[in-house]
Formats: sequence, C-alpha cells, structure tokens
Amino acid sequence: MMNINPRDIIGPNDEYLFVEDGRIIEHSSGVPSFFIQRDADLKVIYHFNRSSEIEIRVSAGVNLNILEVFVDLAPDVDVSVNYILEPDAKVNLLSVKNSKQVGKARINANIELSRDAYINLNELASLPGACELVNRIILKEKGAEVDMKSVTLNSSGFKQTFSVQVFHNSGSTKSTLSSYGIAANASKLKISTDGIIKPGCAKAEMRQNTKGLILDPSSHVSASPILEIDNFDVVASHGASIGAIDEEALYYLMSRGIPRHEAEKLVISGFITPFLSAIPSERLQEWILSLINSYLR
Amino acid sequence: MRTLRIKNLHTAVEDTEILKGVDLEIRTGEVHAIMGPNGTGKSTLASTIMGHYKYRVTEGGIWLDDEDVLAMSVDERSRKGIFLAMQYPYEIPGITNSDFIKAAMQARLQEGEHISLFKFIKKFENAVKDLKMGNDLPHRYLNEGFSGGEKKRNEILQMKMLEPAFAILDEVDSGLDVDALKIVGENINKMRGPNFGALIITHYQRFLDYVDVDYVHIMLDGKIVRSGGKELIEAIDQKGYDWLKIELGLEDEEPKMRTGAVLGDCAFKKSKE
Repeated sequence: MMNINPRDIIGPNDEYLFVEDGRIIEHSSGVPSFFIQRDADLKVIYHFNRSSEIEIRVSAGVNLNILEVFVDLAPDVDVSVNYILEPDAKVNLLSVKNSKQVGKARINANIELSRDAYINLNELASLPGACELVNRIILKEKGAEVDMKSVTLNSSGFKQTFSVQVFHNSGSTKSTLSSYGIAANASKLKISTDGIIKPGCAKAEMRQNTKGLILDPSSHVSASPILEIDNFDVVASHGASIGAIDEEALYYLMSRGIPRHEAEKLVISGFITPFLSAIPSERLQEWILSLINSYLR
Repeated sequence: MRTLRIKNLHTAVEDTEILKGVDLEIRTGEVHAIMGPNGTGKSTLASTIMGHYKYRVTEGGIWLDDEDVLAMSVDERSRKGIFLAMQYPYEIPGITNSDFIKAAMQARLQEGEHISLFKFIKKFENAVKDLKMGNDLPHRYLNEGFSGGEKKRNEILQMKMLEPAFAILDEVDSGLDVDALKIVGENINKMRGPNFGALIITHYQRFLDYVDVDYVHIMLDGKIVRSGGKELIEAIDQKGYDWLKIELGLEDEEPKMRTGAVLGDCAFKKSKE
C-alpha cells in the first residue's frame, strides 16, 4: 500500500477539489465544480465510501493539467470518473489510484474526446485486493487523440485486471497505449488492451505495447491485446513482452556494490522510465517513484 | 597494503570443470597480466572472483586480506574493494549512467551519509574528460546504444569513480582502436599506487605496451602454468602458446573433439584402427 497524505500533495497556491462519494466537499476558490471552463492546473483528491459516478467536463479549447489521486476506496465499490473533452480541449492527466482497504473495488474511467481534443493520460495503480480497473476511451471525431501510459503494480496477493478499450469512431484519430504491469508477492495481473477501428474510419492510427515484469516465481502477468480493424487505410500495431527480472542486469548492478534490493528498484525504475519521463514535472516524477518503491518494499 | 589471494581454485559451470587449480596472489601496488588462448578459463577466473551465479566453486578459495571472499555476496565483494571491468558490459535501459554510479557510490557510505552532489558531478566530469567520452554520458542509459569501445571505456570510468583496491580488467582492450587503447592504458596507469592492484586479462601484447605491468601469468587448461615478467609477453607475441604446451606436455584437445563431432561412430572406430 502506498502511504499518501492528501495534504502533502496540495500546495498553498494550488487549485484543488476534495471529492467524497462523488460530491465536492472542499475546493479552492477558482474551481468550484466539475465543469472546467478555463485553463487550470488542478489537483483532485477522491475518497469513495460507496459506489459513485463523476463526470468532469472540459470546455472547448481549454488546457487542463490535472493530478487526480484516489486515496481510499471502500471494499467492493464500483466507481466511475468520466471525462468529456469538448473540441480542441487538451488535458494532461496524471492519475494515481490507491486504497487503504482490501476488497474487490472496480474503478472505471470513461473518456470521450470530440474533434481535435487530446488527452495525455499517465496512470499509476497500486491497489490491495482483487481490484479491477476499466478504461474506456472513445475518439468520437476527427483529430481526437489519446496517449496513455499506465503502470499497474500488483503485490496484493490477489488477481487484478487492468483493461483499456479504445474506440476509433472517426477517421484521422490516434491512440497510443503503453501498459506496464508488475506483479509481486504471488499476485496475478491480467492486462487487456482492445483497440477498435470502426468502418469508415480511414487514417486512424492505433498503437499498443504491453510489458510485464514478474518479481517472484509465484506471480504472473498476462497480456491480452485485441485489435478489431474494419478499414484498410489505417496504421495499427501491437506488441507484448513479459519476463522475470533479469538476473544478469542484477548481477551487473550488484558487481558495483549495489545491494540486491536496491538493484531491483533500479531495474524496476528503468522498466517504467517511459512512464516516468512522460510526467511533466520532475517533482511529480520523484514522488511517483517514491510511491512505487514504498509499495514494492 | 592489501592482498587478494587465490588458492587451488576449481570452478565448474554445470558439470564442466573450467578452473582446475588456480593459484595467484596480487598485492595492492602491483599490476598483473594474465594471457592465454581462448577457452582456458581467464574470464571464468574473473567471473568467479566477482561471484557470478553461473560459476560454482568446487574446491579451493579466495581471500581478500584475511576475509573469505567466497562467503561474500557479489555486492559485498564490490564494497570490500573488488571491481570487475567486464568483457561484455550489460545494457540496462531506463537507468542513466549517473544514477547508476551515484547508487554504487552511495552504497559504500554508512547509513545516514549521503554523497555530495557537487563532488560527484565534478569527479564524474573529470573522469569523462580523462576518457574522452561524450558530455552526454551522464544522461545516457547504462551502456544502451554504446559502441563496443564506449562500453569498455565506461567500465574504466566506473573503476575511476569507485576506486577499488583490486580491479580485474577482462579484455578491456577488445573493440578499442589504437587511440582508445592509449587512453585506457593511460587511465589505468594513473591509478597505480600503493592502494590499487590490477589483474589485466588480455590476448594481445599491444595493450600491454600501454600499461605498466609487473607480473605476467600464462593460463592454459584452467591453470596458471607459467609466471614471470614482461619477457613472457614478448615470448608469446613471437612464438604463440604452442611452445609452452609442448614444454609442459599439454595435449591439444581440439583435433579429437573435431573428429568426434564431424564423423559418425563407424568412421571414428575405423580411424582409431
């Protein structure tokens, strides 16, 4: 479990929302609702004691940088945090999903992008229990684009599922999915990525890549990529690689005096470097890396 | 003065014995060279000293001063003062060279101590300059996309940063052009001193033109069979290793193996008759 104190995340000049069970219970003065109508750097902290659904709407042409942190989820809740991006909206979303309570929570994210809207989504999930993460992204109109990198850590001892479905409902849309999964402590992680290009959607581009890292012999990572393509004039690719932590890499690091557990942390940070590099702030990169190291300790 | 002592060392990989009783003693302040044909166990010796998991010591021992090296983990051996510049340095994507060396230097400090960032950067920059490597080296991923020569120079850079008591240099000359050979040789020579000892593994005399060597050992068939001074280098360079094999009565195993692999049983029996 990652130890996240919401008050550590929010600085004195930050715009923020505290959300409990879908309702805003506290907010900074500039952002009173889930309807974002001007450029903003926003931090959102979520607590879910029961199943809830939230919709965040980003107005046309608005640039939004958002850090959302799920601090706690009651066992067995089914929650949805949905994003509607109006035309030309640009969103950089860093989503950190964590909980203190062991259960079978399900977290959904439904994201709809209109014409020329763009979302750069970086997601880190480390949840206790047999949780399920479901992302559904719809590229509704021409020019819509999603660039998603996700890291799912599972050392819960349970089976967890991470899935992403991307629907190209228009031509000239683009999706790039890079999914990284790490399993430890006899845990199982299934990563499913579905890309669907509908008929009539020429010039759509869809790229998927899944990487899995297994930290002990009893853990398991599986990748299930699906491409459903109904047009000839598209670009589509996918790749997957899953393996145990490389003993030769560990030996090389240890031969320089680095203890094994530190060497493993280095190898893991190297594994997720593409995800970390995509986070715009160095401070946030360091914070994410410290969360990952504390979770895997 | 410190001592690295190897006594009657036997090492196997799976069921095959590679080292068959190596005896060697190196003190700080000394530079030793080991030469020998391919497949005689030179790199196995290097990997065994460092503790590579594939090599199993079946007899004998290694001591660093009075401490049993074989009882130490790989990282412990390094922190106690042993360094191996590898023949095939590993590529590890996603980890920058500077983060890697910082972690290695930090591992040598007491709990609560931290390396001075300023001193680290200064030392790193100087090492990069000495080895004539690119200024982007700190930010490049560990050995990823490096040419063969860059990888070898990166090994020497790590050695300069970590300042071991004993450095084992496993064919660092392979893949280096003449200029790079000179640079690497100069940097090794600069480290010579009462607190530094080196064991250089090489095939070729040329590299030993650039490094001041005190002792030369020849390895054949898993053992050190001859030790001496620099005169041995010249002898090998002029005559190869066959004269030594003949002098020691060592059979060349290659022709037997070749026959067994190419011919079937019937032909092999016929050739014996």
